[in-house]
Amino acid sequence: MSGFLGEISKATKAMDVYRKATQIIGNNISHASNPDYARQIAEIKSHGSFKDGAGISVGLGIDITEVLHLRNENLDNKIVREASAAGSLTGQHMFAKSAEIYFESESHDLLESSDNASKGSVSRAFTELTNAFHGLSSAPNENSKKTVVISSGKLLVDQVNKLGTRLAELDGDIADEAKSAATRVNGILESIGKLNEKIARFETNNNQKALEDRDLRQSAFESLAEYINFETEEAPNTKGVLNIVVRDASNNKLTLVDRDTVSLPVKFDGTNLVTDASTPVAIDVTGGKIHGYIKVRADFLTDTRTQLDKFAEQLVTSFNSAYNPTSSTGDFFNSSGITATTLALDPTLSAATLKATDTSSIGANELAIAVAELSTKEFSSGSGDVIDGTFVEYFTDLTVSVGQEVSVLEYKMDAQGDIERAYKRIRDDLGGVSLDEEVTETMKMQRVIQGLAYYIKTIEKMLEYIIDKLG
Amino acid sequence: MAVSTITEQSFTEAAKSQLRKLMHRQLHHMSQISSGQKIQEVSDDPEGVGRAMRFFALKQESEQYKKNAAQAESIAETGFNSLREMRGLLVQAQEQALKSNSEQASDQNFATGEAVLNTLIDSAINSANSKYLKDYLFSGTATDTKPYVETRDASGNVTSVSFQGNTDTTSFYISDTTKVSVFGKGTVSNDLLTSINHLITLRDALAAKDPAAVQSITKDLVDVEARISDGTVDYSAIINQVEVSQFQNDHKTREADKQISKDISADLAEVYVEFGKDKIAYEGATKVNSYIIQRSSILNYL
Repeated sequence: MSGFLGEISKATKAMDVYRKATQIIGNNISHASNPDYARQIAEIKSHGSFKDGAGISVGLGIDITEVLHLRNENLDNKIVREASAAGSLTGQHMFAKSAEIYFESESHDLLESSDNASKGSVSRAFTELTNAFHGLSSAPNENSKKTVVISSGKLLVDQVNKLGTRLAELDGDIADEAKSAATRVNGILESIGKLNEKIARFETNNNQKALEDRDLRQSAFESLAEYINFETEEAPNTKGVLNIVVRDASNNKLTLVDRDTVSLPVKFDGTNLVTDASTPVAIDVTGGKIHGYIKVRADFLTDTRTQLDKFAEQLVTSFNSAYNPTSSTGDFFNSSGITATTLALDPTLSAATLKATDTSSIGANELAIAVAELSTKEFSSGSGDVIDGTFVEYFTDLTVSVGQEVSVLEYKMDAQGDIERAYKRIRDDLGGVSLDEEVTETMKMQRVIQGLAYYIKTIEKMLEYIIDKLG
Repeated sequence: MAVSTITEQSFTEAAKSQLRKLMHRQLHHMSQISSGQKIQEVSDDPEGVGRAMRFFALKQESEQYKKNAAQAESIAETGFNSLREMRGLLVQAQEQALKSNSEQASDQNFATGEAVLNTLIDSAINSANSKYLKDYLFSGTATDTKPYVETRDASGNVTSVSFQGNTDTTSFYISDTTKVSVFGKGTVSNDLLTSINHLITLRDALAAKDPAAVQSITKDLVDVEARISDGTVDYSAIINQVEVSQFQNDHKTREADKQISKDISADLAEVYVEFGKDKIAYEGATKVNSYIIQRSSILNYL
């Protein structure tokens, strides 16, 4: 009798085990569309067996010995690293592309005749201005030619000013974006601290892993990696609590999250990401969007702006020198505006005051010719000029370098995306959820539970029969 | 081959990524078709854009040189016509001198000759003061100054002419390597003054009925006529030079267009084919993705 009752008890317990296993499958199914979730599998094992009085080996039943978490730490770390590399490229691309948009008019309507071509282009506005001086040289006494020179000059100034202003605004936009990103980083650090606390509490109390909180923390790591590079270190005397560590310029460790506390929040000080402390320490950011923002701003954008300013400065110096060789009869450009944003025509310049000559002869054109010849003048920084090559060549090279930067970044992003996707695919293959597989497992559980129920019912019937016969 | 789990994420992520790529390609080809340019952004082909920008500047410059050349041609033609007219006047003057220089010349011949010369002098002054638009052609760089100013006696006859312009010259570009001077040709200005003065001298000789003086000035008229003739040849040379430059400018513009087109123009036939392929691929991908999403699952049989 006791043997039968023991069997019923064992089968009931087994049913409970399969109920729990089914719960885990249900949990997997409910996370089928959650990319951060790693599949869980109940590991059902036997309790072992004993020999009964007859020397027959009898099983002690089953139990869920462990819930397997199909997550690979090495793969997760790789994905974090790649997310950081991808973040940097994304950050750089976002603003390099914006700069490219400002140069877009240079490549537009190149198939149009030059008269119909887009007026938004600096290189075309420059050639229109030197052409206007060529026109003036052919009829120095013609007012309409002077009007064309003035309007072409204004157009060039306007285009250079707009480009310079937009690039300056872009510089501010990057700083704003970096500030927002630092705030976002602090939010993620906060979440990681909270998750560390939850994981520690759960795992200490239950002697089990807080699997879903670990999934969430891994997701937070990946979000953080989009913004900055970092290392994780297991907090001393804990299991599974991970601190977030970054490095300063001297490679010293800075612990941003210490167990459940954001020990060092961060901020963007206008140039660098620094710790938000009374004595801020600059963080050596080598990955993530914030690295991308800092890099694109310090390298690409600064170079582009410097080159544009040089273009403006060379315009002012060479035009004024050709237009006002004696420095006494009035400049063409305002001599104090030697940057892209400050470039301006001389305030006294108008169609009425425009000169083709410094002589008293109205038909002379030596100034108009001198300015017009600037269209083909080769400058050389080795000879004291600010730029190298002709104006058109210099500005074309600047435009090409902007396009090239975007093109290279897009190429790198494609390659980076492939690597990231490949790792994620491997991780998904390893720990993602397939509905068909889970449903098959559910059916298997259902069948087992059906079997157990039938087994219990049969034992019951056997017990009933024995009781009836004995009674 | 190892068979790994195909998860729900694999299906949807692969489908989204594929559709995104194909849609992007379709949009790219659509833009190429609508604009005719294969390059939409500098980053599509930075080197190609750089080359095209340089050729575009060359084309812009050539178009300006064409305008300058057309202007130079018009001015040179006006100058040529003025000098040819002056030459004609000098020939007429020589004919009058010849008629009055024979032994049979009567007082009437001298009187008629004097009257004709007065008319020729007025015409010569007008011709020498020719303008292109509002600019005097022969006053050097003082193009707003009437170059030949006459003094008349009580009868209205020109007694002398002075040159008010200068002998400076200006030139301007009609191609990237060629400059021409069409205004203020100093020697011509002097020759024109000499021509008018010779006509006045001849008229005075006729008025004085002095055959010897008439004969003497006739030789000078022949000399100056030859120099004026040289001036017309100079203008002809300029017109020829302009025509050569125009040809070169046209050639450069065409070459620039060809080079720009090589880098920028979309090969529409090729783009249409690519667009068609993208369209088919997109339709296929949407069908396949739709099939995958609604695929046979074990769930359908439960």
